[in-house]
Amino acid sequence: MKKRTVKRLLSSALVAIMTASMLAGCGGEPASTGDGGAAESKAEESSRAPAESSEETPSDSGEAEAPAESGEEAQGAEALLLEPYEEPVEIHVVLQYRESEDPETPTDVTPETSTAVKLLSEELNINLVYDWIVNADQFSQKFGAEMAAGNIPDVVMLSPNDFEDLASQGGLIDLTEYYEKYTCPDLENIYNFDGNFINVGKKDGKLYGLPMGTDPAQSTSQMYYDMNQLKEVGITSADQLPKTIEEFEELCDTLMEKTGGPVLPACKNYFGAQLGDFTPFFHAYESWAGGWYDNNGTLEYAGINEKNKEVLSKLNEWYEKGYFKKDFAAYDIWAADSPVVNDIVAGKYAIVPGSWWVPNWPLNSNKVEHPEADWVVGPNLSLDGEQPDIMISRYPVNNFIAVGKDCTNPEAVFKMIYWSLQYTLKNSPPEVQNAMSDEEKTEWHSYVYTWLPYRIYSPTCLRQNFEVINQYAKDGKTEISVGDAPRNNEFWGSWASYLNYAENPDDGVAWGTYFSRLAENGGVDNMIKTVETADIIYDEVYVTTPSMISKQGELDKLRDNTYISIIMGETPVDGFDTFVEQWKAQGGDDIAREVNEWYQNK
Amino acid sequence: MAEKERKKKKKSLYKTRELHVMLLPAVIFTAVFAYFPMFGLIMAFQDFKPLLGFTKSKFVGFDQFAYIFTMPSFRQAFVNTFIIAFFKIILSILVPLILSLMLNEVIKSWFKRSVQTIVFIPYFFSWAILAGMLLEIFAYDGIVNNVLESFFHIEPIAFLVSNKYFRTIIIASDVWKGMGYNTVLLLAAITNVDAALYEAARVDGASRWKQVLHVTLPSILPMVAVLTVLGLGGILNAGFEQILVMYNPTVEKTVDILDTLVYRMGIAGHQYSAAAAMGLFKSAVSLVFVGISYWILYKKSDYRVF
Repeated sequence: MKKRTVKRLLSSALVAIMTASMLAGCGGEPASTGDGGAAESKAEESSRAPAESSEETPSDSGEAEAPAESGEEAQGAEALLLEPYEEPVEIHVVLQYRESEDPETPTDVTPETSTAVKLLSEELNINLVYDWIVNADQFSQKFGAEMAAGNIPDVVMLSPNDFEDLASQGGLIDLTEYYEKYTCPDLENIYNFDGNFINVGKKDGKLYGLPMGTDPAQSTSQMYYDMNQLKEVGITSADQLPKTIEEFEELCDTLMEKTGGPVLPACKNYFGAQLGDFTPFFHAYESWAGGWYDNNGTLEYAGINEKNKEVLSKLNEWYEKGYFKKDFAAYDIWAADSPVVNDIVAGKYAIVPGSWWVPNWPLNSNKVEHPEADWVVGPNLSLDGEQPDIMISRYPVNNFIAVGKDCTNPEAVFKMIYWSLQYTLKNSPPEVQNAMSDEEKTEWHSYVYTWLPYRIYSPTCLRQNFEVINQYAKDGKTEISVGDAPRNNEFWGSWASYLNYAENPDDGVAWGTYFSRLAENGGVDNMIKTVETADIIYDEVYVTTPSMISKQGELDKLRDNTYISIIMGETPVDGFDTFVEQWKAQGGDDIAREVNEWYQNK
Repeated sequence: MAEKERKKKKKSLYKTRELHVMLLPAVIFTAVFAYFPMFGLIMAFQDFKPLLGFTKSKFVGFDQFAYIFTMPSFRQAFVNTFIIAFFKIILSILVPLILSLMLNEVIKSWFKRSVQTIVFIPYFFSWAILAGMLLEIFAYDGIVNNVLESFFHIEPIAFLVSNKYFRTIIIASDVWKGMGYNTVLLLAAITNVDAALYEAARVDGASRWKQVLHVTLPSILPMVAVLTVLGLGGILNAGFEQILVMYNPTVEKTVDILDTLVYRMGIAGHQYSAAAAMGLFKSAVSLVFVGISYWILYKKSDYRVF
């Protein structure tokens, strides 16, 4: 009896072990989430409202000048884009789910019942089918498992890595001829804003995906200070704010004495999180955790540069002093309900490093809770008080919109994108919004752009809107016609926030949108000033090489663990040299060879 | 002769046909989920691309193995797996052993039964739930640090990112979660000890303590041995689910195990081949341990599987 039990136990154990030899699958929580993705979406945030307008379909230029050919061609594409299918066409998509950013989205709306799904079916005869929906932080795992099974959605947003990987396996449809046939100025403005950007999506001259980019300037980082809190340590005007690392350290020391610390938000996404990260301090030392810069014609990886030791030992010094939470590295700032963000909102920090959009979130929530808060953007830190050199990407590409090999109607992706653009342009001018019936309003708020497998964000819109709206503000305009508006999908949102702030200057939310996008010395203004005054070093690589696909992930991990370990004092700073050796041996050298080969033949 | 034998076999097979039919689902299950996927191991020797499939993916021989052996994270995970599994196996026998011996001495049966139930409860919770609680409890401003600070005046410790403490937390919480189960097993073994032995011991003037030492322990030793040896076979399974939901990049140095690494590379990182190579390597090492443990079992207790 006993014997048999044991036997059974043993044999089931054996079976379990054999099973384990396959790739362990199953769910569970992710080890780490893709910070990049989250950051990008926040950057796009709020702004979606937009729209543009102008006469519905045909582009102005085409109509006005009517130079026979180009005008006709453009109009042709637009007519084609709006043409509904005769028979219903099914487009299978997948979704990394996030709650709608629009607080007025009805709670019972799901991706399947959203406005886009309904109207695409009614107006174009395109039936959007969600094959699966998972939370954003699970997407990479789920997609990996589906890809292993050979399941590729019809229309999908891909990370540069997955894009390259799938394209090289023949998993994506060549869009070249479709693009030629269906492109028009409105689409070019998004995917080919400088006349060259579209090439990022090409391999061997064939277009495998539409690149989704941002303004390279958006990768800059800034220092936000709450003047109201700083008052108590004797800083009463913005020109007293620190310019050098030394002055900054003095300020932090003073704050430490007063509050006992921590004085700086920090998180495990220590670089490039765009909020509560160490990016501005790396920049102050003219060092970068990643990126390939041109050193006399050869690309070198910034993350293994000797110079990083300096900033790492400084950060370690600050950690020991207690500037950051002792266990900061356990927290992901992009996790839902992140404690780091909660602390910022609660006003625990008088200093918050972050990107241009930070006033729009989470500083706006802070201002709602603490109306006395008075956030300003301080000077970019450096060692000598001068603007340091900065590194920005030649082409920041977050994602590609691609069409899977089994899609029967590849042109549908263009129709969908164009439809979305038209829909938002048509519905977001203030007059249209004000004239909406309740039903129409519900429909508008049930259009959730994050639930679609593409974005219609024009990379140049931030600067464009900043300039245009400030010009109108100077002229004292409070009303403009649709014809005076630039054709990007962010414009009307920005315009509305300008009007809103003028009316309700004490409202924290109105302040947030205004201060991030439009204010003098606000987020965007400082971002533009930074790239215009700084010497720029470009991160030249915007392609993904074969070794990157297989090795970059582990290399980044190795780097991150080393950096954080040095910052936390677990590894002495000389551990950096060991890291460099390992980095090279583990595939860094292969990647360097490949990117340089690409760079020479570009 | 042979004919007769075959007939006999046939007959007995027919006689027990219901039993065999009942066995069928298990056989099919094992074939489909354990044996069939083994063909997939070929991907460990390829540069596997899912869309190209097994037939068209490039064959690279042992390149993937060469690659994983150069990875510091692999070596680290390998060592961590051994350390964590070793302590988990030892402690998850030792703690329940002590607990069950103590419980056995309890006279009030309601107390004994309620303790038994209480220690069994965590066993039923999934790691996803327990991890949420544990991470809260051990947070920098969590309960443990509060207690340490207010009662012992110890500076708060960043447990969750500490390579000094986190491994201990992982091991201890796993032992805590599972101890109820083994306690019940051992208690059952203790109850089965022949009462006559105790009587004899008492007649010989043995104290309670001597009885435990010379009667109870030796009697349940076979059970302890079986549990230990079974654990040995799983020495490379250091608790995937638990670690996946509890760890963070900072403590990877001390708690990253082979399974979490395989998961990160294979599923999250889409490195199917390298991950499969790791899995295969792990299986190979496990096989050795399973072999050893079965051999020990056979030698010591005369149990045989094959």
